[in-house]
Amino acid sequence: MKNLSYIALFLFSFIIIGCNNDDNETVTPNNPSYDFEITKVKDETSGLTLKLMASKENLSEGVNNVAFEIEGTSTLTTGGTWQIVPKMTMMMNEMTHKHSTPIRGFEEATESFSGKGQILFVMPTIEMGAWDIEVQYILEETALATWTMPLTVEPVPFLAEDPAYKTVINLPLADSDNKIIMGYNFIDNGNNPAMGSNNYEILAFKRIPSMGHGHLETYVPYTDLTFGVTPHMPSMDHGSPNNVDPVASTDGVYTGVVNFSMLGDWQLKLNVVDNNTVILDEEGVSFYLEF
Amino acid sequence: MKFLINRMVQIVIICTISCSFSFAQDSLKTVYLGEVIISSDTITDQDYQLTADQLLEANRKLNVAKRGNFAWEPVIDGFTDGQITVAIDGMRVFGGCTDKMDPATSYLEPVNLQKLQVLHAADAQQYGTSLGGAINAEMRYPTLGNPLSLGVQTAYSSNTNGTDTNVFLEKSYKKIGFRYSGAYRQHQSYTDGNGNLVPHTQYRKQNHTFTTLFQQNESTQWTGLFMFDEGRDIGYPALPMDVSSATAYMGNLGFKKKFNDSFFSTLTAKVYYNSITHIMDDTQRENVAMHMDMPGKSQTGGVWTTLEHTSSKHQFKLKGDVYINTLFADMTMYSPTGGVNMYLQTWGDIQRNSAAIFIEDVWQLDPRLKWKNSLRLEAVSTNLTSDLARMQFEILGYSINGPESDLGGDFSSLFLYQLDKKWSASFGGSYTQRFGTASELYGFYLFNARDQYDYIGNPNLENEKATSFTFDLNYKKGVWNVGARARKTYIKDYIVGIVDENLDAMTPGALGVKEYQNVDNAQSSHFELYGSTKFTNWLGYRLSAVVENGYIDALHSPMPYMRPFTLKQDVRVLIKKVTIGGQYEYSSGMSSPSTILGEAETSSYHLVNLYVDYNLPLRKGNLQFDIAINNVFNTYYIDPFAWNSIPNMGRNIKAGINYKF
Repeated sequence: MKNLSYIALFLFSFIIIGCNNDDNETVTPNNPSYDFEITKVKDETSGLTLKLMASKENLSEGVNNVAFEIEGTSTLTTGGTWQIVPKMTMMMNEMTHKHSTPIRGFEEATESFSGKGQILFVMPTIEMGAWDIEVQYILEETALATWTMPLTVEPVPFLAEDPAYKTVINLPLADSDNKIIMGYNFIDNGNNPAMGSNNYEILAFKRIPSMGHGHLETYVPYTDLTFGVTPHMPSMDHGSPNNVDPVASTDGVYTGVVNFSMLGDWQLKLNVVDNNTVILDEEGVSFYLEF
Repeated sequence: MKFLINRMVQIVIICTISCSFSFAQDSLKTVYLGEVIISSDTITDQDYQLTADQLLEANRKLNVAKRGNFAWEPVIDGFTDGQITVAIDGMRVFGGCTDKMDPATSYLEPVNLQKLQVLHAADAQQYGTSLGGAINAEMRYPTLGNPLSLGVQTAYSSNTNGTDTNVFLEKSYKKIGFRYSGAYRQHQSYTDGNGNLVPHTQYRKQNHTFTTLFQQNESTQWTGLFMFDEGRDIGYPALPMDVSSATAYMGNLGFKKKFNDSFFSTLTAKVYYNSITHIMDDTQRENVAMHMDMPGKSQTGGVWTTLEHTSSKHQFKLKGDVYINTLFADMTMYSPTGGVNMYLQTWGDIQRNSAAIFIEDVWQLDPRLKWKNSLRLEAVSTNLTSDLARMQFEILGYSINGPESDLGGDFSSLFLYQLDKKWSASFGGSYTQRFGTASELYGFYLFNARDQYDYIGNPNLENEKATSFTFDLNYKKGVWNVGARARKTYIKDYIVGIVDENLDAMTPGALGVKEYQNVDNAQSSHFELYGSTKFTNWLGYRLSAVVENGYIDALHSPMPYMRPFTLKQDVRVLIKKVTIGGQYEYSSGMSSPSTILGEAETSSYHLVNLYVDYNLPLRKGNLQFDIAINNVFNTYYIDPFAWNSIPNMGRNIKAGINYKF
């Protein structure tokens, strides 16, 4: 009997492994959500309050994932459309100048929800210039509600000082007054880059100048671009493997995969070609991240 | 049975002819050839002033790979790292450094040790699944009935302006005993045989160890151990970084029970835990492009139980062991331009759980022939548990969602034959499947300063499979003991780094990236001769000669760590109270290095050491004075396994004084 107890002790040593083992946890991607309320404004005509929701705590230079939502259970009349116009008002030489910035998305709207969309702020709020956004719900050419929201758009500062490092790329296009505007969005992580493999998209717009007379410039999706993207860590002078160049997924949106092998400073060096015309090569400006 | 024996003999003969050299198996020695080997593994107080590294290097069954003057990596028959097992007082211990700067043996101190054994085949398998063998460090426990004993030793080394000091204090009663032993060492950088300083070869180290033994009754015994070991300011000239601290805590509780009237005669059990924290440091280096912090941590806890049975025909042993090892290491790189710092995890909380069962039987087939069979089956699960580290691996195309489980182990079969009173022989074979190490599976951009490549792990690695044949022959008559040992090993799915051209190196200056892969095939041969005699009571002589070779087919390259022809001779003369000794070592130098894995050719060398001990018995205790001159002729030489051709130490005069009672 005594021997049996010692054998039991021996066998116990094997049982331990069964008690302390297989960790089956999986990595749950932090999918984009619109959990952060940036601001809200009440429209006195309709009495409705509109909230600006975003996937990050603050709006910032570059691509922002946002949505507009009417607070509470009240709704507008069905069948209208949402019109969203971001504007920056700048004071330059005691003259007021206004310009806009690209937006896209805002599909699958309802009478209380604008649908999810993206605003690519080409610049942050500065001392001489302030952003606001005008949102209207229009039914049969009549605005049922109008909200004007003052916004603060944060800059994206870098510890590295290099004029080629950009969050938003804004380049003149040859043989025209048009420009190309590009920003990036990390799809699975609320536009935050992360260690490892990142699905991302580059939003490309063609900026067509204002016709004058108080009109704002216009932005149209820039289609038919070819991208070659090389991630590069400037301070370590190395890249990363197994990246997938972005390809068009919808008008003006190019989706790819970029791998970050460590936290730190990363450049996305770009080769951008419109048919046979090189718009940007790796020697030029690049997207730049510090995380 | 006869058929089996004949078959084994045939295999051994074929093996013997096919390899360029043959004979002898070390694994026999501890069991069959007995006392000679065991006594050479026993640590005496003469050894206390040596470092654990020097003890390993002096052991003819081992070789060491040097990255500097500290923490030499043990190599058994050309096998190292995950191919061998290190057990310290029955505990599995894994170093905390991703760059192998702290093999488990670097936390040892001879003053703590009872034995330092190098084991092969069945003897090694009870400690772990390893195709190369095992190092078993048995700690020294108090001897009951010994009222009080004390020993103090100190020695000064001229070359490093360094000191080695150790002390032990033992107090015991009839049923219980306590022992404290400790050591402190400090050495500055050494000069080589040309008189040039070899920078970054300094180190400091302290060790404190407590052991206790409690004899509950005639049949029941308890033991306890606590050890603290700390290295500081350790230089590694062959590597781009040094170590600011390497700290180990180890503890265990043991139990032994003897039975008089049952099937099993003895039960032994131990539960243990050890923790190692290893901090790399490059702040003492000049011209560092980018400073880095690279801390590493290794924690291991385990329990094992052994049951033994002895009868007239059989000696049977059954062992079960379980351990859990967790490794974490990360790397912060400080931007030299004041930009954002960089960070990655080189060991992202790698957890290995292991459960093994070991069975051994020695069967006395007839009065002259024993058949020793052993089997170890080990199940492991290895997991990368850090989310960040898992995301890192995504960039390599791996999706790691849970642990990888594997089954491996060893089987060994050995015949031990006593031809007559003088001649004995053993021959046999073993088959091993060893698991990939944590680095081989999940290491992330680990820089190897030897071949200048960054290494990445491969979670899909297969077990490395080895088949070994061994032959051992020994002649013993009177004071003469002469023997030979040979081993031939064939390896399938050999684990080695293969260049991946698609990957960029991360480490500045690295040549590229290698990923661990299984390749076919590799083979190695080991052959050694040894002998010893005592011509008279006052004159003794020892000799050993070893040569190895090996080849990796897939790389068209020699295997690394193959020892070139090495001859060691040792003469000792005792005249009254004075012992005078001399050692002579010749190495033919590394002539066929594995250059693809970073080895370089080295020149042949002759090395002579001399020593004189004067023993002075006192009314109470014993006083001894030692003087040793190592590298008498100040030879400039590079050890064949030295990383990056770092030269060895030049002439060193070491003077010591020892007292004990």
